[in-house]
This record gives sequence, C-alpha cells and structure tokens, in this order.
Amino acid sequence: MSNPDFSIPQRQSPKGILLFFGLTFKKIVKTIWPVFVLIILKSSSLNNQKQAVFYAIIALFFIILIVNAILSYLNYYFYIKNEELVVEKGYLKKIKISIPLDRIQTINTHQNFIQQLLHVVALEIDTAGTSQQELKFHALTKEVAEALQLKLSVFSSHRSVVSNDTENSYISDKKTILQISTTDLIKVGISENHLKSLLLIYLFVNGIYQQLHDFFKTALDTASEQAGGFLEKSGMLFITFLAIFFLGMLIVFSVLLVILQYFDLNFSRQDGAFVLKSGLLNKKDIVIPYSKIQLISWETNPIRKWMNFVSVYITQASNSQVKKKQAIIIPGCSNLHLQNILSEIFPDTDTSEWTKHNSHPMYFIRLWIFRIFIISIPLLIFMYSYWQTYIAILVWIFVSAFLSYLSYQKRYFKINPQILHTAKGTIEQEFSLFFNYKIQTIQFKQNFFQRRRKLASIAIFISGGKRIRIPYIQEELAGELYNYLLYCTESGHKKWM
Amino acid sequence: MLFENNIIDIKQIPTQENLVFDSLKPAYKTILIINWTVFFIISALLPLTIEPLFEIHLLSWWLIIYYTIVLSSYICMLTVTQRGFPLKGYALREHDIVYKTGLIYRKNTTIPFNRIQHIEIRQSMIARMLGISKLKIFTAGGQGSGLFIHGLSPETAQQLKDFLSKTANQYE
Repeated sequence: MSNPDFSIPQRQSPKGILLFFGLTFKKIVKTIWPVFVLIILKSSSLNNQKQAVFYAIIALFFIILIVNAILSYLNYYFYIKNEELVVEKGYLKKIKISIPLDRIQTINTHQNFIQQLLHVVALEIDTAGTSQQELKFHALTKEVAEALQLKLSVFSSHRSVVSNDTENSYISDKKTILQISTTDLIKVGISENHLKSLLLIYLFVNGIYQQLHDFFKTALDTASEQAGGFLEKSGMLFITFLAIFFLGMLIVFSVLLVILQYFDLNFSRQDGAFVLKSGLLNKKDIVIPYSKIQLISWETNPIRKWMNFVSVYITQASNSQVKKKQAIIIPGCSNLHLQNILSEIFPDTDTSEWTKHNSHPMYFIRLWIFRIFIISIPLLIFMYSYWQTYIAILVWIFVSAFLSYLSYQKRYFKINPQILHTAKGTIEQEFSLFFNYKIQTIQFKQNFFQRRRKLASIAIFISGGKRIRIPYIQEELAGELYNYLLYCTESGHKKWM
Repeated sequence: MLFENNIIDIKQIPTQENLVFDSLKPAYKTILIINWTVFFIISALLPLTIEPLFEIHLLSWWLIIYYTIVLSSYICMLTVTQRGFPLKGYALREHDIVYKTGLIYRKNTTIPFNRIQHIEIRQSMIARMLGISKLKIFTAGGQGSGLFIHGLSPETAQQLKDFLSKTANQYE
C-alpha cells in the first residue's frame, strides 16, 4: 500500500463525479419532484414542437448537472497544512474550510449501497464545540480513507492524551473485544423496545398513506369500507388474531432492523481507541479515541437479563446538538464483554463496595403524583360519557404506584474519588459510569417542598448532549456532591477531551 | 458522608453555602414586569377577539372565571418577581462562575472556567433603552447547560466577558 501524502492538495476518487451528480440530482428531485410529475403527466398532450422544447429542457438540465458534477469534483481539494485539515471547494463560490487537527472530534467512515458498488467510502469529520463545522468527503478510495482516518485520529488522540508516545506506536496491536453473530442479533432484536418499531412502522405507513391518498382516494375508501364491514362481522376473534399477527410482525420488523444496522458487528481496540464496524447496506466504521469518551452506559431489561446480555452505549464529545446517528451502541454484550470495555477506560469498575445513595422516598411520591395526573387529566374528558373512566383511573393509580416504586428503587448513585456511577429505570435499568472531572455544567435545584424537607436535586451536564439527574437526595449530601464534582473538575489538569 | 476513604478532606473543599452574590440591576426587574404585563394584556384581550372572529358567544360566568384566573395569576407573578428578584445573583470564584435564581424553585448553576466554550453579550431592544445587557456562557454540555446572566450594565458585561474569555483561554 502506497502511503498517500496529505501535504499536497489532492482530489477525491474520480468516481466522486458520479456521487456529486447523484447527490445534486437527489437534492433537486427532492425539492421539485411535483413539477416533474406534472410535466410527465402533461407531456402526452403537448404537440410535437412543444415536446421537442420540453426534451431539450430536460437534456439541458442533465448537461448542467453533469458539468456541475465534473466542475465540483475538479475544484474539490483537501490537504493537511500547518496542523490544519484544509478543504477547498466550489467553482462559482469558492469555499475554504480549515479545521485545526486538535479540534477534530470524530472521524467516521461509512458506505451506502452505491458507494459499496463503486468501492469508495464516505468520511465524516466532526469538530468540537461551537464552530459547528462539519466536513464530509463523499468518495475516497478505501486506502486514502483509512490512511486519513488513521492520520487524523492519531493526531487528535496524541494531542489530548499524554504525548510521550513515539510516532510509530500506532502501528500496533489490534484486539477484537467482541464480534456479534447473526444469531445473537436475532436475540437482540427480540429484546428490543417494540414501541419504537411500532412508531417507525406507523410513521412509514402514514407517510406512504398520505402520499397515495390523493391518487387512490376512491379505491381506498371502498377497500376500507369493505374491511370495516368484515371486521364487524367476524368480531373479537379476528381482532385478537390481528393483534397477535401485528405483534409478531413487530418482532420480525425489529429483528430485521437490528440485523440491517448491526450486521457483522465488530468492536475492537486499537492504539488508544475503540473501533466499531457494522452494517449490511450502510456500512459504518467509527473510531472513538479514549480521550473523547465522556460516559459509558449500559441497559438491561427483563428479557435481556434472562438472555444474559446488555446493550452498551458510549457517549463521546460532540457538537452541542445531539446526533442520534452518532450515538454508539453495542448491542448484545455479555457481562464479560462489558467488563472488558469498562476496564479499558476506567481504573476501577467494581462498584459493589462503594456506598450506595438512594433517592428519598419523597421521590416516589412525586413520581406517583405526576404519573397519576399526566394520565388522568386527559381522561377527565370522558368522565361524563363513560363510567368506565373511573375504573380506568382507579386501576392506573395502582399501576402507577407500582411503576413509581420500581423507578424509585432503581434510582441510585455511587461515587468514589474518581468515578461517578448512576442507575435509573423502571422496567428496564440503565447504569452509567463517568469520570468526576468530565462535567461541563452542574446545577443544584430545590423546589419549595424539597426545601421544607431538606432535600435537593442535582443535574449534571456532560458533553455529547447527555444530562444526568440525581433527584431528591439529602440537602447536605447534594451540597457535598456538588462541591466535590466541581473540585474534581477545577483542580485537575486533565483534559475532558 | 459522601464516600469513605478519601485522600482529601471533604470539609476542605470550597463550598457554595456562604457565597456572597452580586445582585442584578433593577432595570432587569422592570423588563420582567414589562414581559408579564404584555402577557397579561394579550390574555385579557383574547376573549374580545374570539367573539367577532369565530362568532362564538361566550357565557358571562365563563368570562368571570377566566378574568379571575388571569388577574390573580398576574398578581401572583408580579409578587414572585418582586420577592424573587433580590434572590437572583451571580458570583465569581477563583475557578468558576455561579448564577442563582428562584423564590419557589431555587437553582444554582455553576460553570467551571476550564469548561467555557464561548461567551456572548446580548441586548434586546427594551434592554438597550434601559441600559442593561445579558451575558450568555456556553459549554459543550448541550441544551440547557449554558448560563444566562441577566441584568448587567453594558460595562460590567464587557468586563466579565473579557475576563472570562481570557481565563478560559488559559486552559486551552
């Protein structure tokens, strides 16, 4: 493999022309597709002369797009100069973006279906903080992308970690921490939160329905009338069958979604960074330098507990906006895997010896009252028309008491001189670990009722858009925690990223 | 006791309890009162516009209930603003900045200097007329993690901004 020299300006892979073309085409079609539909529908009724003009316009449109793609490609340069990654692009409007290398947060590569066909990869570069600059290369050859990724990640991690390593130390050990097989993924899919898939299906179907509605209005109406009549006739049995069928579909859908997303997942460790590779149609390749990691959390629920695995989430420093797609999720970790991941980052991961601080029972009361009201008030509308509403509210009062008790019991925090450990959840339970000094902002909150009982809540903000709440603890304890976390943050000289 | 076996004595850590806070300019209270008054006037005018626009006749006792609620909550908000204002304030310490607020819901927010990302001075039109500014301090903590310091004189705001930027840059 020849090592590309990034100090001289270079272009992306020539195949990028195709991608530039495709991207602009997609963008334009997305905005003006109704015009296209109209033109195509109208074109048959035009006379020959007008039709010729029409085809000429379309041809011109394509020529402009092709020329634009070629010019965009030819005018797109990138290079590294003075410890900055510089990108020059544009031919009508020239744009020059330079990003200091030590500002680079994450370097991710991925491949969508077309990029897989063309054997190129996309490389995304995300920067810290407020400048909100983001860079995306659409078509790099695999060698260039890997070399660039390595170069940038090594640079940025060297900066933030102690820099006594020698230059060539990164050509070193790569160790796979976990590799998930498809059978494991099926298990993960079954244990997913199916409400999420329900929402996805709903949005998907609703979107399609809205689009088709105008075209097939009459056809749909008759069909739904028939379906309605059919439903009435066959009654409860059919509805039960439908519900079971739907639940089955949900699970299948969840499993498929999980397999698509996490196919062939490989999580490894390589010179001070985690590397996550996964995906079937959209391949992802994410590098997470240890210094960028802000928090590691893991989630379990009764099904996962029974199957003996957890899902691990890694929060890393990023722009102030939380990007869902950037959340790093490693599903299907056994406890051993979890320990391996945690011990890589934290010096001390056995929290069983630490003092456990629970929330005050008032927290249970607050949750309970809140849950009763949030459900009951909308239900009050039906109170006049249906007497069953009273029973529903009564049942809910008991159910919410049970749920609130679970939430209250599962919420606690533990702390040692370096690490804060928190837990929360209702049916599921989420645990997290992070270094005390990685806080960004901290709040000490006390409402009127808390003040009377000498209680307080703490809210901690960390980078990556994560907020940690420690509600309803003793005022004195909250004060100590508040002061101690600030002390850790302000006294150390450790970088938070 | 937060946790056992700590090397440093937890009692030695600087605390927030006896902190002396700088209070905000009274002009900021005027702005708060203006805001609530505008809100009150809009709420008071709302029923008058509903009748001609939507041709719905509102029953008189509904209106009485509505205006009682609006008026009493207005008076309530004014009292809270009046009584709560002296409790608002900010304090600079050696390593961080603290802003506190709240009569009913008390809140202390602290940002360490070495976590400041950038700082902005903002001034609305009314604030410009009354001669005050506000300072917004951003961290990398995302939504809700920033800190607004309201009711500063423009000079203080500028001084604070310069001081904080300078201090924050030392940690780069």
